[in-house]
Amino acid sequence: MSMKPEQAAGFQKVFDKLVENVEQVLLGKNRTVRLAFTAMLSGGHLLLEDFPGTGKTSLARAMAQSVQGSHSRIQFTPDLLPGDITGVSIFDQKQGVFEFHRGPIFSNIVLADEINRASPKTQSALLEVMEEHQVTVDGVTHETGEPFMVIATQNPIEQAGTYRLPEAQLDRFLMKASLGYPDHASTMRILEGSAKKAAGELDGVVPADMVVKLIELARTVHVDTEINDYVSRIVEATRFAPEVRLGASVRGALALIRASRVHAAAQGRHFVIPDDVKALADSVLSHRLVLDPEAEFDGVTANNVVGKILIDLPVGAPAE
Amino acid sequence: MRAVIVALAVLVSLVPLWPVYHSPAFFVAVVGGALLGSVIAWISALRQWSVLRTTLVVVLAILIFGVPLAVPTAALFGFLPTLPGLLTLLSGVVLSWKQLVTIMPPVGTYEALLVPAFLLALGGCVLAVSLSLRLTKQSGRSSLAALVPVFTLGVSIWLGSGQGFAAIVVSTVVFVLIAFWFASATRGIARSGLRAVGIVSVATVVSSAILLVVPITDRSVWRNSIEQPFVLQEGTSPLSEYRAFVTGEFSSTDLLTVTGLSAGDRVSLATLDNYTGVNFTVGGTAADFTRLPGSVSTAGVEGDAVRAQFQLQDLAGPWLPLPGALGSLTFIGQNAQSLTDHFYYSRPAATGALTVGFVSGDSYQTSAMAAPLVTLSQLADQAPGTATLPAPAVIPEGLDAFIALSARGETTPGGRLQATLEALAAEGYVSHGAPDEVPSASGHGANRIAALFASTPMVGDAEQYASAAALIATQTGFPARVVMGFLIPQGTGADAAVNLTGADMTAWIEISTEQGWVAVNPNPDARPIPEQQPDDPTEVAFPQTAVEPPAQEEPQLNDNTVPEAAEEEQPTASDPVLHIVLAIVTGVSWLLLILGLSVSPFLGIIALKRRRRSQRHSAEGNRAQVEGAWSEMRDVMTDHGVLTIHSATRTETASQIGLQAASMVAALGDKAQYSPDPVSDTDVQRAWADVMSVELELGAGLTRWQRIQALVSLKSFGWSRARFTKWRGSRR
Repeated sequence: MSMKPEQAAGFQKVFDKLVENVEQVLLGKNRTVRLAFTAMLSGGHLLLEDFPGTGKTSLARAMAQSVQGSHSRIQFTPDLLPGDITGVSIFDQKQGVFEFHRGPIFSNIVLADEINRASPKTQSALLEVMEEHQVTVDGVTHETGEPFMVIATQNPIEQAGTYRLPEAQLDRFLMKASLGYPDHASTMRILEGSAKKAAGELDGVVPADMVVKLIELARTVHVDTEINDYVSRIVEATRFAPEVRLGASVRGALALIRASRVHAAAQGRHFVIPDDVKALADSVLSHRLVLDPEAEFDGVTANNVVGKILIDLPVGAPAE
Repeated sequence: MRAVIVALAVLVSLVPLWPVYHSPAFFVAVVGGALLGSVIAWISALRQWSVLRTTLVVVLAILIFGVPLAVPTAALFGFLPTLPGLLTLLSGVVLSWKQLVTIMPPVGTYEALLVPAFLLALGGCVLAVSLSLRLTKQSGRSSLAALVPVFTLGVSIWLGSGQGFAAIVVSTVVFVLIAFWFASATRGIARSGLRAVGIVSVATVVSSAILLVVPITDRSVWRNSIEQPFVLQEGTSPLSEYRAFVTGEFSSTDLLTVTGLSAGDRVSLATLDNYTGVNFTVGGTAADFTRLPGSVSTAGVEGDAVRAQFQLQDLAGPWLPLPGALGSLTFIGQNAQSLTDHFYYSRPAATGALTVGFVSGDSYQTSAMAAPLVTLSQLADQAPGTATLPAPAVIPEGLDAFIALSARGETTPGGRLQATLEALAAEGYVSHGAPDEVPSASGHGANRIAALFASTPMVGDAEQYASAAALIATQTGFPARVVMGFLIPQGTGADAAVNLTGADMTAWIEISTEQGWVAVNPNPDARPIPEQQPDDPTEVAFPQTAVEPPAQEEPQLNDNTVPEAAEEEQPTASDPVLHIVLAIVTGVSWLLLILGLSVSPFLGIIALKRRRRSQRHSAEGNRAQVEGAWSEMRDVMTDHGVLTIHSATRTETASQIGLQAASMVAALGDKAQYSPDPVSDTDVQRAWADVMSVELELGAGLTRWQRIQALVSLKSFGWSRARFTKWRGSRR
């Protein structure tokens, strides 16, 4: 069943309210905020590659407040253990049983700060939860609850003592984005105290269960065959680009379609157009590409590759 | 490199025109044109000139270089354009195409006949090199460049000679070059050598197959099928005027002066091969008159080589006396150019004609092959040839009986012919029917020939005897035709100038033998005529009046009185006002013609765009109509210089001009293409209304010249500057 135009209009209204709400805390970051909500309403996770002090925690907290959900922050360090994330079973001497103590992962929005500082084993534990939305300890499965979204961050500068995320695990993030430093005007506004509220003071816009419904609704946005063809050609182009050693996967193509659906609905449309795909292709595909070392050495980035593909590749030709 | 290959292919494709020109000037014209075209296309691509600007530069180049390259005879010092040269060039752009196929090759540098070759080389290279440089390889449209040499090859073959295998060889070379061009389309020949070898092999096989399938000789080309501008009127027969020459006032009038021939040589006036029952006319292949600008090959023509100079005196046209099958003919004197332009020649009949009246004093030199004269006694050794002539419409009564009676006992065609013609010569007596001669009717219709055979003694003159002999030869198996002309009188010294009068006029026959055409004189010797003893006095004493030929609608063919053209020119020369008016009218006509020709391509572009819009607007279904509206708006934007690239979405494209209407058309186009909902009539109307609005808005801020440029721009047909920019970027 496809989304109706009036449902799309309602979706757009809610989406705009969510974005507007978070923008009270994060000034001048409209695009990233929209991307973050797009990832959330696509049922995906977001990887932020950012410097310290750019507002990552504020973003996570503001989003959690907006959807009236819980929020937690995990600072990843080399000595962090999987149990520190998922939780542990502790023996209750009075009861004589093992009692499960939930870890910080059991929140609606989890900020995994500097994820690349933890050991691969710990990273892997997090990524398993991201995929399955559940934790299994001592043979007992614990649901994380819905909505569930992980916003992981990486520091692009300090690479010493870090464990780079493997490609298979990067593939599980729906999008990669960057908040970046605010521009001069936004910085001035921040310094002048224009931010209306702190993240924790935001009012909720929609209840958490409504978010789950919005995710379901977004999946009903119509995608024409030509859009699938366009996405398929983009993904194939990443595989044949001379600068790329490993192109985007089928999961990447599916992720792009999912995100494009939400993007279309957020624009009040009940069908996807090529603009939705183009708007998200960079964020959804770039982090999934593995560049050829020679190209990387020449300064080519994955964003450049995707951008070039979008410039070269014809959009599905309109019928004459 | 690819541009050079495709330019070379265009150049090679013009080689089939060589037999038409057979002059070094041909190579100068096509090589010059090709170089000029390639350079213009290269600069145009480099500087991103629009189609309009490129076209204007091409026109300018034609005006500057056209005269020295295509009309070299009119160029000052061989390279400077002159006003007459320019006028010849401009008229040649339009008129030379048909002239080229209506003039007997080789044409050399005659008039503006090099213009088609020059234009094909120039235009072909401009188009091919431009397409090769401007269209991207990825789009696949650059393949269009390969069509240009194929087109020029086709045109040059059809404009060329109908014989020879050069066209097939050239086709093979052109296809191989095109194959190389395709092979280099990917990453250069060196890096895709295997692919190149494969493609070249396929092209060679295809060309070889064509070589086997297409006939090597006798192809059907335009010059074979085109209607010649000089068409003889049916029923034309100068032989009907024979009696007027030998007995009338012309009998003692000097009609022409000949130098270079000796006693017994013959000068033909017209060769008549079609017997209608009323008279002998020029028909069949003999009526194929074409213009002869210079020389013609006499290879394969049997006979004696002769060179003679003629000076016309009181002879009227249109028939031009010739000493045989022409090798060359050059007019001398003040009217030489005009006479050359109006001279037509029938190669099968070895007969020349002028479509303009000539005046006393006009001269010309000829070199020719005179048909060998065969005596009656030599005829028995002859065997019929293979010439094809029209069958006689009627065989006169008594002719077959005369053959049967005369050739009794003869078994071979030659023997039968010899016996019959000897009998004709023996029984016949010559009388022109003059007042002091034995009565003899003129004419050579079926009744007159029947009367000849029925009378005793047989009385007639060359008109009747030649006609009867031709029919006899035909009935005995020899293709035969009557030749009317002059016989150089006895006593004329070799190379002496001799005046020929009407009394020197005669007629003979030519028969086709295994050795070719040979001349035979069937006329009896002049001797006293015995008294007539007719069985049927009425038939002999009052013979049938010769049937007069039908009235001539084109007086130049049978007018033996005063040259008509001379009469027509008198009022023109004596009326200066009329002369000025005619000059102005001619000038204005040329101006309008040039203007029309210059504007017509642009009108064509506008018409194509209108048709395209109409097709889009009336496409089947609302969805297609809305998508058509978008396509139309995109093309309008492109023609107005807005960058529209194929990888941009509708919204991105529309956003470039910042018009609400454009964004609306984009949104409706997206909805039509990607939405599951049906497209309403309102959407269609809205979309097309917005397209019109966008077009008006785009034109509002432009000058009139810019609006015209947009109107005739070809960018929306694929000549996209964006693609060229992208291509150039990739090269760098």
